[in-house]
Amino acid sequence: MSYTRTVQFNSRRQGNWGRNQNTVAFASAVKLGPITHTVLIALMITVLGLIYLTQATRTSSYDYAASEVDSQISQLSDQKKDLEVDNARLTALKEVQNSNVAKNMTTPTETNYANE
Amino acid sequence: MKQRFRVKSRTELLAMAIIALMAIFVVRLFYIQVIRHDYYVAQADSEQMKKFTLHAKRGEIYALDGDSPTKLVMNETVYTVWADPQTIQDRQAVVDAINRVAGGDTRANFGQYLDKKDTRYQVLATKVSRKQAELLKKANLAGVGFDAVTQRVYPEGSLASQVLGFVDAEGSGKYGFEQAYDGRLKGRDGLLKTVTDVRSVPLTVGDKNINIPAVDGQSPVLSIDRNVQAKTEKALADAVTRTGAKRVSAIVMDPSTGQVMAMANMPTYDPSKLSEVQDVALFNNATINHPYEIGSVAKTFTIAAGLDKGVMKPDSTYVNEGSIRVDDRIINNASKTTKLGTITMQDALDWSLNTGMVTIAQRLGNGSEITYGARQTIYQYFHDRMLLGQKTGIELAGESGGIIISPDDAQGNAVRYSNMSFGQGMDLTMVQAAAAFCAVVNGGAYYTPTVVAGNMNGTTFQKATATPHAQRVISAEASAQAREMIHHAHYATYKPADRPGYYIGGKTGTSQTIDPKTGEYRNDETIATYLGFGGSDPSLPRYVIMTSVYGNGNYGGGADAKPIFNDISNWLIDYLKLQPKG
Repeated sequence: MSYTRTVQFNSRRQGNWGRNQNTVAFASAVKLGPITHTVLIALMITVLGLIYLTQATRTSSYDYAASEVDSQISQLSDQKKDLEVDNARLTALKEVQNSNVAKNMTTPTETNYANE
Repeated sequence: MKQRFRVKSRTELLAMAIIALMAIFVVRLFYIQVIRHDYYVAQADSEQMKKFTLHAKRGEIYALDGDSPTKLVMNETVYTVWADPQTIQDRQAVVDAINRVAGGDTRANFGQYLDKKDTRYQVLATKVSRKQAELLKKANLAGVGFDAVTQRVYPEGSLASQVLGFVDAEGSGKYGFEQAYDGRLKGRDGLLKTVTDVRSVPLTVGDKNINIPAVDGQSPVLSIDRNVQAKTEKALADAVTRTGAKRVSAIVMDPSTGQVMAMANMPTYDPSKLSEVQDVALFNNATINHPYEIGSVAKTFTIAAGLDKGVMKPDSTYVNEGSIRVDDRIINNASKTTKLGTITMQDALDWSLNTGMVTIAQRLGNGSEITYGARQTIYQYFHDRMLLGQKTGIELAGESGGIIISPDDAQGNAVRYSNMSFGQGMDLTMVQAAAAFCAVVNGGAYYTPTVVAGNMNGTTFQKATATPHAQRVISAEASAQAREMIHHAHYATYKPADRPGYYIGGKTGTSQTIDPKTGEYRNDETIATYLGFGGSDPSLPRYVIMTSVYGNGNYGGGADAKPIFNDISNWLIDYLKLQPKG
């Protein structure tokens, strides 16, 4: 999304930039010693390490999720196979021949052919 | 001047000690990480990396149900339930649960195996279904484990078992199509090499993971039509009851493609009950691996060669004296008094007269002798064109080649070739004879017999295309004449049992068998054969059927083999929805 500035205005600071030249730069009153620096660097390394570990762990958690999904796929595939086998057994010729529908069928006494 | 040694401060000593310690660490790390790098990487890999074989699924086998494929051989995962007797806590609970869930699949008195405390693995039940296994797992029985096993399932029972073969415990195809197509059915196992956690769950970390997916086996569609196969097996079972023969066989082919619609032998076996098979001979498919002297059905090949060479016509005549001399031998007809005098070649075929066929063989030479040239011509037709006496290449394991003696062989003399003209002196399998007969009646094109109609690609049936053999067996005109002669012969001697209005043809064969002890023909055992075709359009046979009956006595082609042909033929007319002509 973009915005269009409709009102023009000038910053006073921008307009008087020259006045701030040669001003005094005040040094900070807080001084960091070598121990503090070391501690800060150690902290930074620790934080970076934690970030790395978090990411690495997250990758592993995806692996577990993928493994779980694979397992579910495998189970569903097995169920599908079982159903296919059941279906094949139920539609086998012997089953069809022994069905009530087949038993009630009769041989036609006469056959007529419809010519095209 | 007294030299003063500078006394190092304790801090400096500590620093030096630390530096020395660090130096030791650095040297040690350098040794481990650089010099022994490969060794430790291998050590780490052996603990963290695991190899898994991704097993390819064996292809399923389909048959045809009309034009649609239907599953004939499938795969099913079943479980072997085992126990570790040392960790079983509640013996009675285990016995009760297994009896309740898998009562029919348990070992006899399986409870006794739970008492063998000096062992760690005892099988309690086999071939337990997945549902049963899940119920047992829910029971949470300590010390009870499950091994998944994939097995072949045959929804149609023993149907076409001798065509299919079976898969052994190592997963290799044995006999039949399973063995012949083993490589394509097996597929190719894949490989997963990956870092795993302690539970062997594969992780994606690391850069050495290898994942080669398994390639599942092909799922071919057989040209065997389950309905035709079932009818053929029923007809054979009826024939066993009717004749009392030891073995009966039949093959049904589509002459315009060479595809086998049915192929069966009786007795047979149930591939799901292999352990109950007493005689391994039942695994053999006699239609492809039992070469024999096919007898007078071979006369159809002799007349086909004679017609194609132009040395005879159906109304060509010769003088039948009941016997004929070939070199120093006298060749007799089965009946020396039948149709004596001047008769036609059609008569000779109708009455199955050996003298007529020997006469054709002579006419392929100089007219009075079966010369070397005549023998070469017969050999060319029988062996080189009709591909008799050699393996057809059908996709079934254990096919036999049979024997046809070349005229260049010392035994390939005139007497041999006179015998061959009426079906003796050469050993052929039924599939060879049926395929050659297809060429004789289909217009003269030889199609290699096949049991493969195509392949399943997912749920799509991709049909294979039939291509005729490069060489034409006989001309279309000769084929039409042969067809008409065989049609005539079908009705000549036996009372017709065919549906009226259809164009049926065929030839009987009754062949003597050779006593393996003496090498002489025996009189107490003959093989009955019938080889014929059928359809409604005289120029387009829709099926070829060959049947044989043998073992335990004398059987006649007309009396014992032809009724099987008629039974299957009359049924096929309805099944193929053929309309009568005229």
